[in-house]
Amino acid sequence: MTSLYDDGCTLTGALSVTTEIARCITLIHGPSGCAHHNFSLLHALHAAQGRMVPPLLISTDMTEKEVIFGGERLLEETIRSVVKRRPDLVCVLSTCVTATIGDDVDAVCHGSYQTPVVHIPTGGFIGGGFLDGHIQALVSLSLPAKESEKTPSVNLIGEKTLEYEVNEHYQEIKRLLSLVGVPVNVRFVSGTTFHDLAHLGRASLNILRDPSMVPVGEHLKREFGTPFIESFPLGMEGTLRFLERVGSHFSIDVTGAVTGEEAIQKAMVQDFSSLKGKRIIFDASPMTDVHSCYGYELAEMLELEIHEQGDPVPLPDPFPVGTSGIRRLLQRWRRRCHA
Amino acid sequence: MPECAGPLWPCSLTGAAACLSGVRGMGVIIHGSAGCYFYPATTLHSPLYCTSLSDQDIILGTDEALVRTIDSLQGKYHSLSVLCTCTPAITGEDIRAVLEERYGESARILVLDAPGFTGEYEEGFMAGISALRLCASEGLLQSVNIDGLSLMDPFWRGNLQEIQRLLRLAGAGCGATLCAGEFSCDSGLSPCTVHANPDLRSSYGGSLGSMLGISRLKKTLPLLEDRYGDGGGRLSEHILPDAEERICAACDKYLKRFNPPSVGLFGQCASMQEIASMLDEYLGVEVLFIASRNTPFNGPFPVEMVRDYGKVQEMLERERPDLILGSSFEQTACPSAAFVGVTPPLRGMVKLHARPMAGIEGALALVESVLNACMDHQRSPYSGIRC
Repeated sequence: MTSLYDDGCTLTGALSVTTEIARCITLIHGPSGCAHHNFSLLHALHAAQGRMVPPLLISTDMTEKEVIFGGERLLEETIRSVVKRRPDLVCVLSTCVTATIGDDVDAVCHGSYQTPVVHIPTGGFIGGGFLDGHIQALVSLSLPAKESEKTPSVNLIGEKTLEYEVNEHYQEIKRLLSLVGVPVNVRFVSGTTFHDLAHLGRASLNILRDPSMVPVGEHLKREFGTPFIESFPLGMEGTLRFLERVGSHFSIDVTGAVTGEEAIQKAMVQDFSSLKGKRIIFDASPMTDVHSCYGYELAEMLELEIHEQGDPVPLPDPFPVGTSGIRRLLQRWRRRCHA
Repeated sequence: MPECAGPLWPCSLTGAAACLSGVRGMGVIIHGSAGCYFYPATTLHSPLYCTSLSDQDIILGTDEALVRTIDSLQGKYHSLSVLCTCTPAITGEDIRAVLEERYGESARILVLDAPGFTGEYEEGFMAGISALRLCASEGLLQSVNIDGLSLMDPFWRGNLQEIQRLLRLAGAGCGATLCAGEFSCDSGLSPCTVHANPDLRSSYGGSLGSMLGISRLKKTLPLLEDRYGDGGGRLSEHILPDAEERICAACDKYLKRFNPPSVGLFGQCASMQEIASMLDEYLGVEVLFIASRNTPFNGPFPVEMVRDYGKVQEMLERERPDLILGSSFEQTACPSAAFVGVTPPLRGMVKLHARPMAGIEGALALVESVLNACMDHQRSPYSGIRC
């Protein structure tokens, strides 16, 4: 593929956010084919995570008629119809087709409805790629939130809700935060409610899923004055430093937490001692370079030799979170090395 | 109600891509956004290319992006096809003129208008087949084309292998396989064709009949043997009756213990009519409805067009079938019913072997799956519970 946006469609990125909000209906203004593509992909990815019921996703089902005469009336009628289902929120996503013919989706969404209607501008390629859609959706959904009194808690920003181990990553970060006594305020967004979104400004620290979410972090900093850590913890050393950074933000002494985590990591290295001396090579993938530092760190701790003829071991993207993520990764390395 | 809640079937662009990406030696370029590319690329498991249009291209013209993509593929393919998506269709550029000017008339570049807003998957697929403009080959008089093969269909590989086997047994060779397997633009066309999927029937070759369902096979196989065989009639006199006897025996055994199930079928109309007919004949099922993904036609069983998940939920709630034949969408909508996957997508399950739906083995596989699903259902905690 010769693509600037080879991470997928803007719509898919936005849907990875809107379909995570409980009692929210996502309305795609465009031909039903655009909605089907995403409905089917979401169904596949959700099924892989064990979530068998596909998210509620409605298309305005534009045809040639609306392409010629405009689709604003169809959009308004569909919003009115959808509102009758009494959702907490309606998110309207635009498509390449509506962007090209010039429908004023924003104006239609600002009409008078009994339910909040949020327009997320995702005009396909006009809006960019998957990441742009993801960011745009998070920024748009933060707008209804109000500035409020801070509590000693964190928001998790931009979890990759379509990834296979999203819940395992969440459990790990929750565990690490519990070591320093800091609760999660809002998962922005994963299994979140519209009511939760209103409290986005309460947290005194935002933790971004990865550095690609920095534009969202910056936006929330401007809106609510909340500083951010730019990534979930990655790597052995990175996990310990993460605890220290969180502790430093909340002025908490984390010495005990770091020592405890270090002991868990040492025990884990011992559990995988059968790997010692094995020859490995990292599986070639576009992200190998980005994650290779974590691979080299593990190889050094486990006394592995990196060699051209070694057993190929994965360095996945996204890299697994925290110490538990590394344990699951090492299980896979051990299988590849037949250790 | 002007809404379509969870559209279940792909657009004509995906149909065209499914058709042309099954042609060996043809590079398929999706002229549109990366989003239009992403779904067929992940579903068809075949290399596709995309012009990945940007907002700049829409303002200044998409020709440069297209030429850049074509140039990057020069020498890699015998021929190329350009599938124009919604956006170039709206902006109205004359893509054919651009390509003719740049590459000349002799270039092997097929341009196909396939905007998703104009139609269904089947229309795109058939438009792709028609655009191929295949010619009959005199050297293929003793062979038969197979049509209705789509990379989108989870059964295409099994159907191809099974129909090739049956053709061999009937004494015929295998002609063009539209559009999968060894088929290429230069494949010669045989004078006659059999159909693996009655919803994707091409107009190439004289029809010798469908290969889906026992009753169709009873008509098609003798025709093939009369035309190409040495008069032995092994298929129609031995192999097919033997298979039918095994189906009858298995269904009879099932009916000794259980009542025939009530069934709802979700999929392409003609294929579902054939499957319903077979289940009615051998298992005595009550066909509650056929929910058609494509434009339906009247047949012996009640049929209506169902294109969205909301309607699927409504129908299942209303009719409460014991057994569902359809896609994983229907499976998730009613987990308490027995389920057999016959329609894409089939998510959340491992599929490795080449399972047929057509031919004798296809019929056996289908009845086997239905009986096993019904018996498993009788033993499951959902037994006695309807949707």
